[in-house]
Amino acid sequence: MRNICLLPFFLFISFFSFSQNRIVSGFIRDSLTSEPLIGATIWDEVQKTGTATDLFGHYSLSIPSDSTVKLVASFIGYQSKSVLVENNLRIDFDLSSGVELDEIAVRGQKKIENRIEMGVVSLPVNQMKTLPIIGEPDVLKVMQLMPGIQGGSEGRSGLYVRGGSPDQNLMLLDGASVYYVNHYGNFLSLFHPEIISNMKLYKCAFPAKYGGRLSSVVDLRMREGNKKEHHGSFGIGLLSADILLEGPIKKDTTSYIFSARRFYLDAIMRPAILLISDFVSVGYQFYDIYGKIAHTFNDNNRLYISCYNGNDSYGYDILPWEDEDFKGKSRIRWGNTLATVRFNSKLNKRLMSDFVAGYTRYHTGQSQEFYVDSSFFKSGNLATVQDLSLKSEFNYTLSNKYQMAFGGGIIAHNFQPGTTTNFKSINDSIILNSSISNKLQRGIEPYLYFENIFEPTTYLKFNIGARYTAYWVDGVNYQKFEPRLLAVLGTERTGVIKLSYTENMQALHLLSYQNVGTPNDLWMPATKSIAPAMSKQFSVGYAKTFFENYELSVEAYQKILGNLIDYKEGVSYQSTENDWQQKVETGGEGLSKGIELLLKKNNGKTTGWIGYTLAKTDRYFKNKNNGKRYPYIYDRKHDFSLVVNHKFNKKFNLSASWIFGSGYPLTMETGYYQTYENASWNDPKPTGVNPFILDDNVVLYTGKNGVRMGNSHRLDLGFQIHGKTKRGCDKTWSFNIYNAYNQQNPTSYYYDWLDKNDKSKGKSLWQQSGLPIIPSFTYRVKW
Amino acid sequence: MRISGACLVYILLFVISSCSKPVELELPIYDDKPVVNCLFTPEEPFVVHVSKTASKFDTMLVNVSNALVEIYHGENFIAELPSNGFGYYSDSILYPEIGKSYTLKVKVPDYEEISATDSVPSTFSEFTYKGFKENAWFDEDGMAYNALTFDIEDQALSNFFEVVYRANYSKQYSWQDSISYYFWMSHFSLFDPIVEEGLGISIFTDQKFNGTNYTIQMMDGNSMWSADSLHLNVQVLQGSQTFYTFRTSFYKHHNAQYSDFFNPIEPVIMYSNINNGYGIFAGYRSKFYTLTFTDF
Repeated sequence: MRNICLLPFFLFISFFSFSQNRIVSGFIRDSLTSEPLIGATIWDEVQKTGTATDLFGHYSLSIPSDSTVKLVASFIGYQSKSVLVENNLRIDFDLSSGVELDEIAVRGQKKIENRIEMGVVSLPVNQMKTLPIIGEPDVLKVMQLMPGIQGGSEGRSGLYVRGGSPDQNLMLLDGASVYYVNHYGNFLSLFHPEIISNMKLYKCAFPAKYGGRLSSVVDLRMREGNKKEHHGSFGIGLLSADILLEGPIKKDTTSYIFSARRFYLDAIMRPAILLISDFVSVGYQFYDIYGKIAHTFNDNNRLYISCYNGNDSYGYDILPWEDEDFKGKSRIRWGNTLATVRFNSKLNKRLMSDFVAGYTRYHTGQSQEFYVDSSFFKSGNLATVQDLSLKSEFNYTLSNKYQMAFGGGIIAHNFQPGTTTNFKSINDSIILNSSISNKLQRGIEPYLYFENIFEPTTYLKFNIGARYTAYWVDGVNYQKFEPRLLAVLGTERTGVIKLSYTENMQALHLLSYQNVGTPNDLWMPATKSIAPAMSKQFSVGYAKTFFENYELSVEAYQKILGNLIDYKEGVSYQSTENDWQQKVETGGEGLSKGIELLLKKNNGKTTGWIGYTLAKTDRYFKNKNNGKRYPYIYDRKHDFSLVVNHKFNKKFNLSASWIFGSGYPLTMETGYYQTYENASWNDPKPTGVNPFILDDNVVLYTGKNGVRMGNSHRLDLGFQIHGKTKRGCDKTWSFNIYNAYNQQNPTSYYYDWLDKNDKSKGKSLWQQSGLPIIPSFTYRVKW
Repeated sequence: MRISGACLVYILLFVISSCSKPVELELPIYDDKPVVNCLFTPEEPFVVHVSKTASKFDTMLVNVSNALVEIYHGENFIAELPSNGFGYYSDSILYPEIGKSYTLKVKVPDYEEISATDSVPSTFSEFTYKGFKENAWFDEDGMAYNALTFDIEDQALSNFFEVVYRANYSKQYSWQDSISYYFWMSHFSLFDPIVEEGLGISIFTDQKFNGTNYTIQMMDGNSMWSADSLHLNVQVLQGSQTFYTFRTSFYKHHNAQYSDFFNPIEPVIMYSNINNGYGIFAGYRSKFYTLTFTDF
């Protein structure tokens, strides 16, 4: 409570630099589609000051009340537009796209020195689509090429930010939190680039409006449909196909956008496996469906309705085989459903508001049914997580040097750890029909926040804010006051030093096997006996722009994690015995520290970046690894990436990425010894009291994650050809080569005979390698 | 043919996606150590087995037959156990006593002296058989379990239990002229919160009912229950805490060996109370309860 008393103090700070300039505000949009341009800049040529549009394409800029100014609106890839401001206080810009990046000097976004943010990763989605990614473009896989972000195992779209686990990332799609962000095995995320308009990832210094997770915030926005004309696109690749439709429901007022994607590995896999086996058919498939309606009531009020539904299904069928009276099928299904309703309103020229109601449902379950002779057996279980959320956000522009944001919200979590049903009949006589549900867990998570973004001098900028979060569960009230502090010192000429400090509380825990993204992942809330996880992160960095186009940033960080949970050693992740809380170790700690370097070129025919990370992250649990600290599973000391994208002309585009990473840690067997086991049906049968025989081996381990795998490196290439179809539609052929020089990167190790036909040569350590060279293609046509 | 061709391409793709090759990896330096195993009970003389650990590259385990194996009670020397060959050491007249603490000292040439201490529990909690119930429980796969109910008259202090059965049963199948006889030994399944998470078998402590009477249902889904006659020898073992930790560790360690992508289990480091080596030196006592079932 004492911390809450600090709120008025911070609010008081907010008002000290209030000035009486007039405010010009408006929206910056795409002239063809009326879609808002997020992060576009508006620049006062006279005062040499500017700002950027928010997530709704809105800007507010303070200008002197007694003079005429010239405002220039710019966005990467768009023709800039300028307007003389006299008495008009509402100016909207409609920018035309299609400008070649090298043809004009583009001030598309604020320079890194002027951005009051730190640890932010953001790339235009169009640029992401051109990068070489296995199979098809994926926004999360592109993020992995940035310093401080690991992808986990090779070829997967996991997200391990500064030593944090995937559950520590707040993933937001149009404001709704997403629990399961990857399809099976993390090979593809559910964020299809064709439907995403903007993505921003925060590694530290989270704005106060974000909370509830320890390690990162990933805010993704879905595109708005074209408000003027109907358009669409169709893409087909090696393993999936997608379609997108958009257009006006009412011209210039209401638009829709709809997209669907189907992964059809099952269509190939099932017949392929049937070629090998006569009676088993195995398949995996998923689909994603996205939709969004945007309605403009008037210049100041907008309504958005967004939804997403996606499902994965993996299963097998046992077909009747010869004269055996046996058949059956088994399915594992999981997926998300999201929906948000957002009302965005400009209350006055200084104040923007955003009200969001959201619903999220994640489900995972399995079912099976078998017929054996005259008996029939059917079982299934289903676990769900459901969130209902309400939030309101306000942004208030006092001047160009002072902005405030404040708001609050509440999230109701419902966790159903599992309902199991069983049915069994013999000769049509029911002998079992049961349904068992684990205890429903509910939690309420209210929060309030505010932040002040201000520039007392030209060389000093601050974002000072705080967030108060509570979590009510089982009659317990967990509370946390979370300071959010960011200071930027310096100028464009000298470069800037950035410092930030953030604290976070996370009321949700993910129980996961090595965080590889399987349906076994279990989201559970903090309870009376399991406290929410906590983090504290301190970061310091330096940033400077060179030669207009080159951005350099160096950041060092230290992140302390507390109240972590993990499965106990030896406990089956699948077993449903007893309460899940008995399966976990609590009170875990984590420490991550590192240095990140990023040199990035944003504009011109050739763009790209060089990233390097030196990092260390570990974990500690009293009852794991004999109480000794151990490296986190995705602890990687060195991580280097080089990404280049070159646009030859309007038709051809070439991209390449080369990555190098030192080895991940793993637990390995080193030896073995004899021990007692129970005599069972073995001979000799026990005749005396002693039921044990010395006939089993115990494995000796290195200690948890005690060995390092070998280093990994890989070159990926991508080539795009743009053109027109006979009917005048835009078409794009994308060719990618994953692992171009076929490097055998390690994924695991095992011991085996060096030569199975000549065991005198002894045993050797063998490396299981990851994905070899894989060419892939995508064909896309837009109309 | 075109479909088959496409399928073959994909099969090839999946097959080549998992290449293997022998490699050299910087592993922690491996030092072999002596291994001593001895589970002792008052009904049988001490039997100690001495061997050595083996590296994963070794294909054979080595027994040690030239060790000096001594039994102490505190600091008092009791006896030296002679070698019986194949790594075994025992003295046919040296029986452990209930409640007495024993220290085992083993000297293996070229290794540090190894030692361990444990005792046979001084108390024994009586089990009373109460009855049998058919199809008492069904698991998630619809498998039926029969239940044997026992009352435990638990003694004060901490007690550690393991229950195993030895089943001798016979069945005459319709297609056979003669009766078939079988032997089966196993634990019961235990779906009771007194069992540690991850075990599920009849190894448990009295932590949740210490010093009181407790009724427990031992489950079994074995096919022996469809036999014509069944002779069940239920053996209740009560061990020291070291014995219990070793037994639970053993099962968790082995369960983890069967970890896979769909049923992952973290590796468990096997418990050992042997100083300067590996293995186990732990005491227990036991009692048999004989049950006979006919006419199911």
